[in-house]
Amino acid sequence: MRNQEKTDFIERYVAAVGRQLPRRMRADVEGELRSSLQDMLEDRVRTLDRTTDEELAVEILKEMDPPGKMAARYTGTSYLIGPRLYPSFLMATKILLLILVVMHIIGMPLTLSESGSGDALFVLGETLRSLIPSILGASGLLVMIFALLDRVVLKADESGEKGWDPRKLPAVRTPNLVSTARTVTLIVFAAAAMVLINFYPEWIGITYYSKGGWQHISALTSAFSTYLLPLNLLLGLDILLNLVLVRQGQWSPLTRWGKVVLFILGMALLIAMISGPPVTYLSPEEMEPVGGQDFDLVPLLIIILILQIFRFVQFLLRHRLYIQIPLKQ
Amino acid sequence: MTQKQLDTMGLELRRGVIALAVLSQLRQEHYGYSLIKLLNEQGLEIDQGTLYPLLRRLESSGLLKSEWRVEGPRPRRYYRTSGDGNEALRVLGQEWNKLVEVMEGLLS
Repeated sequence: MRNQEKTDFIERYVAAVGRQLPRRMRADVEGELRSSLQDMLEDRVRTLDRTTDEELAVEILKEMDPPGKMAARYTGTSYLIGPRLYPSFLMATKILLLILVVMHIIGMPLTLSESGSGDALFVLGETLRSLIPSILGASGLLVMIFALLDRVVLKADESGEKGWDPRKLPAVRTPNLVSTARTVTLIVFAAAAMVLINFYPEWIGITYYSKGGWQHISALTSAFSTYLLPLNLLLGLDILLNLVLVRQGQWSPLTRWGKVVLFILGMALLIAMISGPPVTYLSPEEMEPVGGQDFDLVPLLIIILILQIFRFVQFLLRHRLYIQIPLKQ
Repeated sequence: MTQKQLDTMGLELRRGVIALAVLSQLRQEHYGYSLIKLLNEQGLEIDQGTLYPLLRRLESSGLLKSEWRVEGPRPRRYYRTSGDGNEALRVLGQEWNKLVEVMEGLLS
């Protein structure tokens, strides 16, 4: 075996490790690894009275870690979403998947009415075809948001760990405890809602399959723009409050009453949107391709309002934010 | 307890002292492979995948200094302890002596 081939195995190993290292340390590590492997080779030849052949080079390299593992020893383990936020990420992903699936299922009857009842399987296939890219796109966005949050939360954790006080630990059973998973999920969805209403308001509407492709009708009216500022303010304050909650890990009187104010403002805004000029409307003419009935999202807003009232009462009861009337003197 | 579990525990035990062992031997200048051989000869087995990343970490913490030199057939990176490294060695050496004393008491 020629000397060149023996060296080639070492060079291949060094290059395979180097490829998996950051550029700033690559040349240095490669140089040291190469030099050390050649030292090893020479040492074996001298002490074991061997010749420098392919077999010996392979023998030495087999004693080393595989290139990926070797490179990882230099760089350490890196991750995009850490253990602290991983449960929240899973929860948000499940909710997101559910929303996307429900949205696509809602669009199916419209698609069916357009394409004819005989095409049910075709409609199902087309729905799945559009669902998969939606899931991939939304999941990618979710990963980005969580990776960013992970850096923020982690930093907050690190600064908090320096001067932590055991006396500030919440009791084992208390309504004060904040669920990080739930709160981070709320932050992510509030941020997504802000992006949607500010940058992609036309996405709010009806999507159906017709004429060989997916059609979309935007349902927001010009009246919606009057609610944009208060909606942004509410969502922004909600994100801020939730960030504080994640950082503090428990409810304080200030955050508790802040949440109450946000609940009331949110419900007032919903009532204004329901009773004022319609924020969503599609005329029978616009709805012609999917049956010709007019379309309005007011029932959905009413359902959201009822859910908000229910959540508000639940919050008041959980945090005992009600006046106790003494029944007996 | 399986042999694998015992091996893992032994590895964990050694891992904590490797940095101290490396610092102790780098009061005199060595390149990577010569350091591995030196430690192995004295009974502390250490592989390249453990030693080189450790040397980099110790150097970036300011405990070691290094330079590339050609002495012999090829360029090699030579390491030795810095002023901070010598001080760390002194403090960690004292810690080690206390620990040995405590452990001897516990194990006897």
